[in-house]
Amino acid sequence: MNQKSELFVEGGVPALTMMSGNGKAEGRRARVYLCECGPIMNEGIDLATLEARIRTLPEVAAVSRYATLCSEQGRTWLADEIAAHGDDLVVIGACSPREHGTTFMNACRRGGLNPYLMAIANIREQCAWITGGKNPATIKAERLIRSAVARVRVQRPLVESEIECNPDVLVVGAGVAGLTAARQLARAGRRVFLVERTPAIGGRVGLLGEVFPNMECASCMIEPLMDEILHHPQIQTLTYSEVESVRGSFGNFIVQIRKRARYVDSSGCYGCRTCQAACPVEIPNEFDFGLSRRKAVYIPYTGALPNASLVDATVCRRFHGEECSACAEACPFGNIRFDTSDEMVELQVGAIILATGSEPAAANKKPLPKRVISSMVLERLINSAGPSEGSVNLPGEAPPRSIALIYCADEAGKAPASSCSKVCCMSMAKYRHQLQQKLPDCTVVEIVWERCTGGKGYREFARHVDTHFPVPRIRLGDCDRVLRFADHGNTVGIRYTQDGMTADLDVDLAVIAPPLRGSETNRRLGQLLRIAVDDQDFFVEEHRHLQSHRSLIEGVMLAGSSQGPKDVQESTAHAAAAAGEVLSLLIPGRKLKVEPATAEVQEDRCAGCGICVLTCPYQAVSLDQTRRVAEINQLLCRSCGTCAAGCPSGAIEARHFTNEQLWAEVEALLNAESTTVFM
Amino acid sequence: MTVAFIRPSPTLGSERSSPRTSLGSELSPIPAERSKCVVQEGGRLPFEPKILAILCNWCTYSAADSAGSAHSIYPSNIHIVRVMCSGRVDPCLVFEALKRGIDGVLICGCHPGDCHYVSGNHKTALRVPLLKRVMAGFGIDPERVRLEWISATEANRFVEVAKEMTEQIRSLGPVRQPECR
Repeated sequence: MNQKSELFVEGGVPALTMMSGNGKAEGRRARVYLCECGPIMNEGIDLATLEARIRTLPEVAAVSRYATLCSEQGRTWLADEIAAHGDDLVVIGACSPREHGTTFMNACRRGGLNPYLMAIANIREQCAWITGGKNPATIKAERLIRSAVARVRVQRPLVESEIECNPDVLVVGAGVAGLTAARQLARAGRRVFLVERTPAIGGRVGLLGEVFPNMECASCMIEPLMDEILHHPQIQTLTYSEVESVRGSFGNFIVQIRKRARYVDSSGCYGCRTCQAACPVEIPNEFDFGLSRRKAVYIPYTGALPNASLVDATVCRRFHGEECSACAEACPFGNIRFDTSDEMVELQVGAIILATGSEPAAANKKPLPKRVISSMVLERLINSAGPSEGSVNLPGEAPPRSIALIYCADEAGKAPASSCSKVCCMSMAKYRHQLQQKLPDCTVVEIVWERCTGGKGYREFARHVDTHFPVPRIRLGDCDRVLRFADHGNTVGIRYTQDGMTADLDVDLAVIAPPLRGSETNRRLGQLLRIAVDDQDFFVEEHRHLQSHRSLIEGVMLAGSSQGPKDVQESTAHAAAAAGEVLSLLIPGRKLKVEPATAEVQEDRCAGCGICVLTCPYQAVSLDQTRRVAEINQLLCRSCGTCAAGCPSGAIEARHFTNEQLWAEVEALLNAESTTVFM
Repeated sequence: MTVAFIRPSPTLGSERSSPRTSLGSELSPIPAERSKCVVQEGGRLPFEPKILAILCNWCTYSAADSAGSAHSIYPSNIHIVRVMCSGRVDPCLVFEALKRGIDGVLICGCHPGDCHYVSGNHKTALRVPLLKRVMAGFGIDPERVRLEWISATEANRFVEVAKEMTEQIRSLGPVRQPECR
């Protein structure tokens, strides 16, 4: 099978492992094509001498020159030449392979030669232009061509294989980003599975009243989208469901979904809420951040879609050993089904879009002091569809006469936030706008560390609010802190420092806008899919600027604020980018091309140490526990070769960049007579 | 093969090699035997080092291309070998090259944090100091291997490093002393 030769084994010196597999190009001669690149090569290199010297090499079958190989005529000529001399390998002396590598590979394909049996000597960027003299340039060009000839003779034809793929898509999270991505995919005719952890779709936007900067009604904006999703024949929405496990890879994922039991037949439920009136259990409603109370059988919030009840088994008396069937007796349609249980659904999809969204840091986890609320609570209070039906007062209390808005605070509201979420300052401006209308007599004070108003029309809106509804603003420096929130009965005392001086402020309500962090499910999902999450629980993208919609795992896209803080506008655009990426990568009826120059494990050399598994940034390498050998998923491998360099037994080969091929290039330098002048 | 007259240097262990990267800086190279080169002895050709430059496709190879496009002159002693990622650089390959007579090896990749393959260069940053220690143990000056982060936009930096490296290796002399053959 594989011949192994160890170049250097002597007194414990690290050895360079070389393997020569079957089907390599050994024994075949190379045909060298020199591109004159218009007048450029002749200006820098003595092409006649170069041609004459290369022709003498025994490994070279022939040398030809062409004026411009990259031109249409040049490519056709090259393809015809390659076809005419089918047995010969190809070396092209031209510009950088980064410039025309693909062009010449395509010419090889047209000529019927495996493109991996071609090597390029970069004699323009590395010779003609940089040596400052024709003589050294010619010598270096000869060396580079010898190097390419030596390399091509140990190159191997690589098979450009293809695999079948599944064009269906899984979208995790039915917030505005997930909905947008699902709609776009469905409109393109794709089958979409939309999985939502909570019982209702719509995410955070579903809880909003109005959105900045144009004070548009959020539910009017998102409801048509939700309606389209719920009634689209191509979209299967699974609410109250979570991803349990993921197997497979790009093109063919197998995903297990746990569809939690709702104990109510959703198809027959019309949301009449008769069951809720009958239920004896009452607990704080997490969708209203505890501002309202809900029953064990409930609809999360007013306007939640799908408009269907569900039973919360964690609090329902029936699931705690008591004989209660109040809801079942009350339901006029007989839809309560206590005999159901969680269902496991297996989905087969080609790609996954993660649109799990974000949440305010530490919301609902660490209770804030009395009369200090986070911005999302104020949002629910102001929202006319919210628990207080739009009246801005805490449950059982009179409307506040004074409110302090603390901008850009951390989750405790005491120090400036370490990261900017872009949306909080604009939300605060929005609240000022809304408070002015809802509570015109209320005194609003702003405590501001920093104010960020970046976005189209955002600063204009903030200025408009400042101009029309001016409020006193307390500006804090970087070193200033809110020292404490003191409970004064009906008010809250805020002690803070301003320029080092301590000051106090007494208000009825203090509102903080904590920064956003990734959804609490991101960490678990990240582990399932082997995608890194950052210190703020946001998924790590492939490239910060160019590919923020792609994760590091091929076939898994990121949409919306699961990748980083985003407002609605950015989330939907980001989701559209993710959906577009899926549409462009997975095309029904078209097979997925498998990159041939990937890494390969020579199993007979592999000791199963697992070092390669740790080096791979794409989780492409795994260890077969039963056979104790490493395996490389060819679809996930991106050909960096880090595993090959890290393997202590030289068992991994980076195809097209094998030790043997790289050594051939080194040897050409070793064998060169001189680096600068003719001997 | 160029032949140069070699004279052992009296100043042993005057190490100049400060770690050039913050990564892996805890490993300081072990001082090695240093030799000096005297050129033009008996009408022989001056010593011209053979320097292997292993460049990552995305950053430094691109920078070298830009240096070419800008017609920047740098020594032809530099022989560029392209790899997809600096993480592909097998320390054994570098070691083998030096053992066989390559006078210096320049390894370049993307700046830490910019790797096209996420973290390939981080691995290189850990491997090279280790390689240098092994080299020192075998009596090869660790200065013969240089690791640099050069982004695609830093063509001038590449030219600068190529020149520096050539000068440095020229002053170090050939990797194999004629007597040792």
